[in-house]
Amino acid sequence: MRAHTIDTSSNSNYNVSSLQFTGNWYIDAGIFGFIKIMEEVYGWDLYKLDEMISKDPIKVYYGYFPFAYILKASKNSINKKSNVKEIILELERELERKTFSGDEEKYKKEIYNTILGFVVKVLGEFFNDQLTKDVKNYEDFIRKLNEEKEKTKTKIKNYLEKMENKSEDIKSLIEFCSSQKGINKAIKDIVKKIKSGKLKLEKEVDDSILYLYELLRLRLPLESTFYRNFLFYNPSYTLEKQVNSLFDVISSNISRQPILSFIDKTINKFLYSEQEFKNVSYTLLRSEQLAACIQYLFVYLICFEYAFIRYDDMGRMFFYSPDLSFCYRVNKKLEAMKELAEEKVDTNKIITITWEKVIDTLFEKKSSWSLENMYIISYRGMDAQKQSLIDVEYIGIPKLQASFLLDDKIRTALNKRIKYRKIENRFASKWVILEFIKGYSLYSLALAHIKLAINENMPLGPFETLLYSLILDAKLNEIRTRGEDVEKVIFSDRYFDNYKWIVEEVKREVRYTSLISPLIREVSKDEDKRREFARKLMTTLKDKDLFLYNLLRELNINKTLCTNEEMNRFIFNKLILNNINWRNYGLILILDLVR
Amino acid sequence: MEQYKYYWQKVCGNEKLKLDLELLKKACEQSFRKESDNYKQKLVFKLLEAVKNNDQIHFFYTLLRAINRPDEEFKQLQKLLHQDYDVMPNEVFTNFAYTIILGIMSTYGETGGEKK
Repeated sequence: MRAHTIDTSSNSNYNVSSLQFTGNWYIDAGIFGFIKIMEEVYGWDLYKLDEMISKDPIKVYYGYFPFAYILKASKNSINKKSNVKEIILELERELERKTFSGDEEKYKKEIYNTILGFVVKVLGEFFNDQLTKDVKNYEDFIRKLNEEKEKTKTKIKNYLEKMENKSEDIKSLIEFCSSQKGINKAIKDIVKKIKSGKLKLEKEVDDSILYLYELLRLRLPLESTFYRNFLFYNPSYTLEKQVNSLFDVISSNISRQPILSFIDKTINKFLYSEQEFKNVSYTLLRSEQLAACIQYLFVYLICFEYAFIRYDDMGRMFFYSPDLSFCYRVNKKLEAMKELAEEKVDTNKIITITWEKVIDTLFEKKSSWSLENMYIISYRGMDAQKQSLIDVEYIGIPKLQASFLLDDKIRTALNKRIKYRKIENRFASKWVILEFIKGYSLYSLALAHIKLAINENMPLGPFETLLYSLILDAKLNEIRTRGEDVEKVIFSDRYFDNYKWIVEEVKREVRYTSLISPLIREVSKDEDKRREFARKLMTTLKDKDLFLYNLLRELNINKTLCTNEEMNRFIFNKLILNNINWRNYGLILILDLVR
Repeated sequence: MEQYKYYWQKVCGNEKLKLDLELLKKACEQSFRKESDNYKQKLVFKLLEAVKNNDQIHFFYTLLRAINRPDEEFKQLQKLLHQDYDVMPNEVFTNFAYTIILGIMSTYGETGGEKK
């Protein structure tokens, strides 16, 4: 991967050849969010976007992007407007016509202003609604003014004082409004009125000033769970301020927007807050340095939240890999699958498909490296009051676990959800693969599930899933205690073998166990008796002595079973001699009894 | 499971003594081959009870009584017990005891060293 190049030549914007990941996950998530927004609005895939950027980055970042971003961040109802598509087509034609004149700053402004006209076009209806509301408010105000003649004088005085401060704003707003092409007619009328000199801002309390004052409150309906008061999201920002601050964000103009000078919790809720944790960074890394390395840094940062895919029952998730095209493919497939599964309203399907897709993509790309360097970042939602994230999880996939996931058989077996607890007639379930990746014990999950099956007469989950979970857990425990600590392997040749030897061992063990352990069913032909026996064994799983006592006692009653050499050897090797993970094998016997 | 084969290890003088459970099990199988099933079943129940109660004295009493025979088959087991008999920590004792029990149990249905 190449990093963004720092170019010192005058028209540096023309040197950003293509999008690249930086290796820093939250910036990369932002880049991915950026790609997603552009794809959603213009239908460009990664390669088309790359092409567009290399052709003319200014058009993309100052033209196409702000339009798409405003559309995306606006209230949902606006997005669904029928004529949005036509407007987008028109916009594309309009931008196509623009050519670089030689003056970069001027060109940027020109492109940006062109796009704003289209924004107003899309939002026209929304603005109209807001204006009608404002007019009503204004009429009420005038009426009240007339009613209370006594107080009028002071009111007017106060108002004038207020307007004194605002007059600069009003002037610049007028300029801004008149430069817009597609601006609403109502606004235009007022602008005309003001321009023709009918209004004198300093002296009169004219109807239109009041109207204009209301107009100042006209703003882009931007909404985000992620940002409340961040620049253009701030409810007190006027339309003009919003528009200007978005421009500053795109051009990384830190001097004009001091809030951008640090990259902290203000811009990304996953980061620490500069005020609360002053000592986190040893040197005061200001965003200037970063922005110098990564052009359009803030464009990516504000797109951060769009990188996540939302799952109903699991919150928002983002599969991150430092390889851009891999990350893109995986997430795109997941999204497509999510839509498919949602149509069928089957959450289990989402889970099953997820890993299939990740691994499929891996095989296409032939890299286990990507899986080992992948992260899953998920959060459930935002606490609107505290502005903090709920249930954040960063899950990396360790090399060891990755090697297991690459094996079809094991992955398919683990790619299931199993129920493990009953809370008031409802069951909680866990996704085995995720537990495995997180490094939690699969034994306890299997134990809880089998317990549920025995005590609550629940249907037992897939035998294969439970068997693989238990053996996998047993093998990993065994390897760890055997002294072949996984960490030690790092310095041996086996490291480059990607732990294939453990995978082989696990599979061999599963073959052996699945052959022998079902013999335990011979204990009795009566299902109830078997269940009773299983329950008895279950209660003694904590105590090896008692477990063996119960097991052997039962076998001693039924003499034929223990003469089976394989069964005998299984008990001897896996239960008696085995002090580390005899429970896993004991549980497998129980599982065989009740299935 | 090669690594668990020698379970109990202790040092006597300069010599290391190991408890080879595999060997013990084999010796047990060899010894009880010719006994009748009913006899063995009763014996196993008795031994099981002793282990469950963690009663090493009773266990060895029952076991030694059972193998107190001049027959050739019992020689190996007697020899092993002579070597290994010791007051063992509980954990080791259970493994030791269950190995013997399992060894006896695996001979059900056999008479004269041949399987039926």
